[in-house]
This record gives sequence, structure tokens and C-alpha cells, in this order.
Amino acid sequence: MKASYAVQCCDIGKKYRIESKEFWALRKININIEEGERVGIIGRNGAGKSTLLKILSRLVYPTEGRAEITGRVASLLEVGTGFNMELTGRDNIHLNASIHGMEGDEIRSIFQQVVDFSGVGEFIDTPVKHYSSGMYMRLAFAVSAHLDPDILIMDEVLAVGDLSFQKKCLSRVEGLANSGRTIIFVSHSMGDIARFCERVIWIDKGRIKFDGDSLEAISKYEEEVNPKQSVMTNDSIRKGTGNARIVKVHHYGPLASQPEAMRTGESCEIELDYIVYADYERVFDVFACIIFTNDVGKRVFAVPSEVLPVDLTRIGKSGTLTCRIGRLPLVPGSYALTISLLINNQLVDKLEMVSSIKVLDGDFYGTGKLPLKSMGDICVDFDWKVETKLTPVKNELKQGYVDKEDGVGM
Amino acid sequence: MTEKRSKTKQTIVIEPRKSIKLLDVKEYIKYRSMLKRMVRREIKTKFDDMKLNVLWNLVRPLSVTAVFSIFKHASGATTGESAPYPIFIYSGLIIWYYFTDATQESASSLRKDAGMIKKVYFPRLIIPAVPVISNLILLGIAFVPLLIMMMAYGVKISWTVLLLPLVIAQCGALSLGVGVLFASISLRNRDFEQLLSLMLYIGLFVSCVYFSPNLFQGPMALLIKLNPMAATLQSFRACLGSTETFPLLWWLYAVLVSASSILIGLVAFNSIEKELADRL
Repeated sequence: MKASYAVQCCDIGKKYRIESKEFWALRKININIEEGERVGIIGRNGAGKSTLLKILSRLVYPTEGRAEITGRVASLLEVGTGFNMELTGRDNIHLNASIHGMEGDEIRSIFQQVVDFSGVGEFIDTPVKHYSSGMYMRLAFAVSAHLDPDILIMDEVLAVGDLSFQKKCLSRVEGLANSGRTIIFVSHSMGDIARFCERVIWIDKGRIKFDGDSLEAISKYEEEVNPKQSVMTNDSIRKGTGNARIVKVHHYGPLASQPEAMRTGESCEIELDYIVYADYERVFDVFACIIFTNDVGKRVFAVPSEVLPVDLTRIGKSGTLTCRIGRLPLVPGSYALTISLLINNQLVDKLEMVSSIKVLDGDFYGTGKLPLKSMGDICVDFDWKVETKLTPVKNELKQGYVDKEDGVGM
Repeated sequence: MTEKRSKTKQTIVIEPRKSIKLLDVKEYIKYRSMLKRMVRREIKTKFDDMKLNVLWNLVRPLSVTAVFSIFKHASGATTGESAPYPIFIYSGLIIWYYFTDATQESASSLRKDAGMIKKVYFPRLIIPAVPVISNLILLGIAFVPLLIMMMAYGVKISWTVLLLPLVIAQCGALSLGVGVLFASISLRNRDFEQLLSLMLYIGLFVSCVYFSPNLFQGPMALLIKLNPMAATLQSFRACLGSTETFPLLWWLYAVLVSASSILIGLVAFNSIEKELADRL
């Protein structure tokens, strides 16, 4: 066994017995994780992700197999474990850190950092029952973030607090990752997984289904969880005359190696394979349109061919219509496509919400700062500038401006 | 943060639980600050919930003492002890209440802190050990009226008072053993929680809280003496000078029972530990 492995699992299995019925929650799990690796674990609910995490966190014993973990583990299956409402922030920091195995001196040495990071400031000696839920979560995460582990096991704990705190949390975890800590991260958010992890282990029905490059894993996983309805067999949900039909929808991202990975700010192509059934004497105009709908059913934008000076009339009997988007403005998430095709001003085929596309994080602005979903559905090109006036600003305008700090919500 | 990284990294082995490993002492030493903090949490929350908790804690033994003292005075009943009855009954009550509170809280502690047990690894026995330690504070507070009464009655203290910490430690050990045992078996079957509270309720009457074992002769006296808590109570009183001699052999029997109770508790806990997080 090589010494540089942080985690080695050898044939780990876990059997549960529910009302005299036995089943294996995990079986034959073999994973070697090197020091400093960032590994994401994905899978459907009940696939065994949590069981694996619990075994690695030493909360449950495996039924078979053996694992070795080298280094100090901080397992964040929840933040603020053991927090007590009656105790002050100070006492809770000590209590929570000690539950995670820190000793008195170590806790004292991180104490101030935790307080600063959480931003609870003067309220550190107030019982946490008086805290707002945001403050409470910030304090709880702050302790977790300063446990100083060699191996950090996280179960979707990043989604705490307000936006600015979330960003702080993410950058803290990124900082830990960059300083050589091993990170094992379970999440249902493919965006977070893609951002953090270079390697992804996909667990399905208690076994490892895929272990490798994260983008490849995510696209395979996405494909299975949201199977692309490329071929439309059910004609009842179609509209239009049926003189022509779209039979297949493909979409491609910019990389040939990962054709399914579409990213914000990068190019993509959507191909529509069609067959024309009617015998047109003359095709004088053809329009195609794709509408992008987000996961709450709101239309985000459309790409109608009729606004462009393109001529699609030479369609023949079958072929492919291709729409190319230069810089995909969609923020990361899933989107459904509604596709319509008009020939000679007649709707021949319309497919509502047929194909789901997954957009991953991308560097739209080229600044290394990723767009956030909470800022809206699309990114646009923009610029900011400032012009200084030479005449002084009137006094009343100055007074009207109040410096608004983040309230503590007591 | 980076300079601390030079520490040699420990390797943890995760394996199916097969062999019996009663107590990983090193692990408990490593987590001693958790024990300290948990005890602090218990004490703080006990006193923060009710501002008058200190007084309420005293009201219970004091009122029982008053009622029984009046009964005894009015009925002229004998207790079999020469010591002043209020001191006899109060000293018995406070150590008995310590035992029952510690045992009961210890037995229900795993369920109470299930949230922690399911989310973070730590040596599990810290949880049932906490009430045994935190309740010592209440026992300490209950000593104040006892000392006042002892001064009022002019009770003389002999060298046996030095044995007091040992007797209290033995009592704590017994409550830890019984607590861990019931915490473990009640995870499989909750009926044992009821059984424990019944046992502790009956125990109040058979453990020489209200009377002295000297009242009984023959087989009944032997039966009374089989109860280790009766030994603890009589030893506790002897340390405080309210009974004549320290019952050394009887107390050593109680020590033996306490030690075995811890061993039995550990074995029971061992059999449940591998499925602990699944059962809670």
C-alpha cells in the first residue's frame, strides 16, 4: 500500500437488515484517494452515498472489507453538531470543536479566526437562541471551516447562509483544497461538483458505476438521470401538421472530448434531424425556432431563425438543421427545449419541452469569476465605467447616502 | 495553520466490528476536552433553564426530610440509628438522588444526543459518562444544608471523612455501569427504560434511605445487605459521622458490584455499538 493515499477502501460492503430482509447498501467498494485529491461522490437518493460517507466518518461499521484513512478527518455531515441554544457563541465554538476531536489548546488557537470568519462579533457572549438563523449558521459553519483537517468529508453543507456568506464558505473550502487537503464531497448539485472536484465517483445501487474525470462522470450521470428524449415516438404530444418531423435532437458543447458538457459563455450547437414526409412542390420558406425554458418552466430566451437573414428552404427529404450559439448566456442549471419547425408558413412540427440540456459552470466574463444562479437566468455582455464630475456634489445628496451594513438581525 | 501540518499523520483503520474491544483508553484521553465541554454544557443548561434550579434541587430532599422527621417525631418510630434523624435521612436522600439522577440521565443519554451520535464520530461512552459527572455539582450544592444541620446538631467528624470521595466515586461508578447497561439494552427494547425507573423507584424504599439496616435480623438483614446502594448509603453516612463505624467489608462488596456493573455495561455497550448509529 502506498503511503501517499489518504483514503483506501478495499472491498467495503455494508449490509442492512430491515424486518428480517437483508440488503446490501454497499458492495465491493474499492477506492483509493490520493492526498490532496478532490473527489465528488454522486448518485441517486438511496444509492449508498450516505452509507459510504458514514463508514468513512466512522459512524457505522462496514459489514465487510477494510478501509484505511491517513490523517485527521473532519466529517461535516451537518454543521453545528451539538450546538446548544442556551449556550453562548463562545461556549458553542468550544463545544463543537471539541466534539470534532480538537483539544483545548488547538481550539484556543483558532478561536479568534472562527469569530472573525463568522462575523458574530460582539454577540459572541450571547446565547445562540437570540441569534438570527443566518448568524447561527454562519457561526456553525465557521467552526467547521476551521477544524484544520487533512481530509474533509462534506455532505452538501455548502448551502448555508446568505449569498455573500456562501461565497465565503466556498472560497474557504477552495482554500483548504488548494493547500493540499483531501476533499470528499457529496452533492446533488452538479455545478458544485464540477467546480470543486477533479474526480467523481458515481455510486449506483451500492456499487461504483463510474470513477474518473468529473466532467465525464457528470455528463454520463446526467444522461442517465434525465435521459434525452432524442427520438420522439409518441406523436400525441406533438403539434403541427406532421408534414415533416424532427426525429432527433443532439446538442454539443465546445469540446470534442466531452460533447455533452455545455458551459456558460462557451459555444454550443444544437442539431435537429428531420424527415420531410409531404411532397412539397415548392418550399418557399422554412423557419425553425428553439425556446429555452428553465427548471421552473419560465421561458428564458429563444433562437428563432426568422429574425436572421438565413435561407433554410433547401431542406430536401431529410437532413439536419443546426443552430449554433456563440456564447451561451445561460447560468448553470437544466433547461428544457421547445422546438418548432414551420414550412411554407405552416407549423409542421412542434415539440414542447423535449430535450433537457445541462449547462455547467463557465467563465462567461473571462475574469475567472463565475456567474451565480441567484443573479438570474442569463448573463449579458456589459461594461461599467465611472466619470468624475469636476463640480463638487451638493451637500444634501451626500447626506442622503447611508452606509448600510449587513444587519445582525437580533 | 500550515506549520502544524508537520505532525505525523495517524492512520485509522475501518473494519467490521468483530472482536470485543471494551475500552480504547487512548481515544478517550484524546477526547477529554469534549468530556469537559459536554459536562459544562450539562451544568450550564441545567442552571440556565430555571433560575431557581439550585433551590429546587434542595427543596426535594429538604421537604422529604421535613415530612419524615415529623412522622417519626409524631409516631415515635425507631430507625435503628443513634444519629439525629434529619441528618440521617437527608444524607441518605442526597446521595440516593445523585445515584438515580445520574443513572437515569445516563441511561437516556444516547437517545437524547442521538443527533450528535449520528453525525460525528467521537468515543461514544463520553455521552453516558457526562451525567455521572455533571450531577456531582448538584450533590455538592446539596451538601450545604447538610453541613449546616451537622453543625446545628453538633455531629463530630472523624478521619473516615477522608473516605467520602471514594464512596462518591463508587456511587458514580455504579450509576455509570447501570446507566450504560440500560442505555445499551433499551436501544433494542424500550421496555427496559420503564424497568429502570421502576427499579429506581423501589430502590428508594429498600436502600435504607428512610431506615437503618440495623432494624432487621437474620435472612432479611442479609437480603437488605445484598443491595449495593444500601452499602453506599451507610458508608456515605459513616464518612459524615452520622453512623458509628464505617462498614468497610460491606462497602468493598459495593465496590465489587460497581466494578462488575461497569464491566457488564461495557459488554452490553459493545454488543450495541456496531449498530448504534443505525438504531438511533
